[in-house]
Amino acid sequence: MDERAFQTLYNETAAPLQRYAARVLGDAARAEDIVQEAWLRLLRQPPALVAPGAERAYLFRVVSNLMIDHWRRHRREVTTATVPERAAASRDGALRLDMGNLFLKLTPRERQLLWLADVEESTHREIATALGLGEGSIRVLLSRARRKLAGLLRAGGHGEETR
Amino acid sequence: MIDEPDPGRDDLAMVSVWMKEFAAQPIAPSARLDPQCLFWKAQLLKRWDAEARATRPIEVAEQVPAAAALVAAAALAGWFYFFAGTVSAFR
Repeated sequence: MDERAFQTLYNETAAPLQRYAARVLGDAARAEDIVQEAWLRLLRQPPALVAPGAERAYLFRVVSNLMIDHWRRHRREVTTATVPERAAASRDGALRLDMGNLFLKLTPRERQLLWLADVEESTHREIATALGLGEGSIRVLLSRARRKLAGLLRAGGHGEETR
Repeated sequence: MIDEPDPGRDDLAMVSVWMKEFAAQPIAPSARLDPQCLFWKAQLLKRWDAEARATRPIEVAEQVPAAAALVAAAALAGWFYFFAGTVSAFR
């Protein structure tokens, strides 16, 4: 890949990749490291190994795998026990501020699934490829994650606001 | 995997809207991820990878004589031990 092609790909992909990693990890600095590593892996790959047009999928797959490696290495995850319960205190501003904390109440895998499905609007096949899961299991895992997030949102009073 | 019921339409809509709002929240722009730096860093790493690949046979070749000498010494010692034992049995 030459510099120009890389610049174009970077402009199209860098922001979504960075948001995905930062939101799912809940750690912007670590997300930067992971995204940087993904870019370096892409650029160091022999061109034949990544088909033209498949770079974006490749990058999301590498970032997803690197996040999983990160969680395996650092089991001390931000869990529900450590997340401050500020969302319940006031409905308007605090709920927005605590969106990140609420999202971190889901498991890492659930966060990846929801982000790829609802923000990136990836197909089940794309999600399965990015996360190294079977395509058939995505629907079940996704609906489970959505139910869990819906439950958390309702517990925070979100559902009543939207009805 | 067990087939589970999908979340209700209200839940789906609520989650979808919430996720979109969440995604729209700004994150601090990255200072370290400069594309030009990334590109040249990757080129440098690629060059190092290529150099390492090119010099690997030389490194291996350098170790072969030492390994061969060790094997020869062990064989010689074994042979000598066996031969010495056979000779002493005849005496």
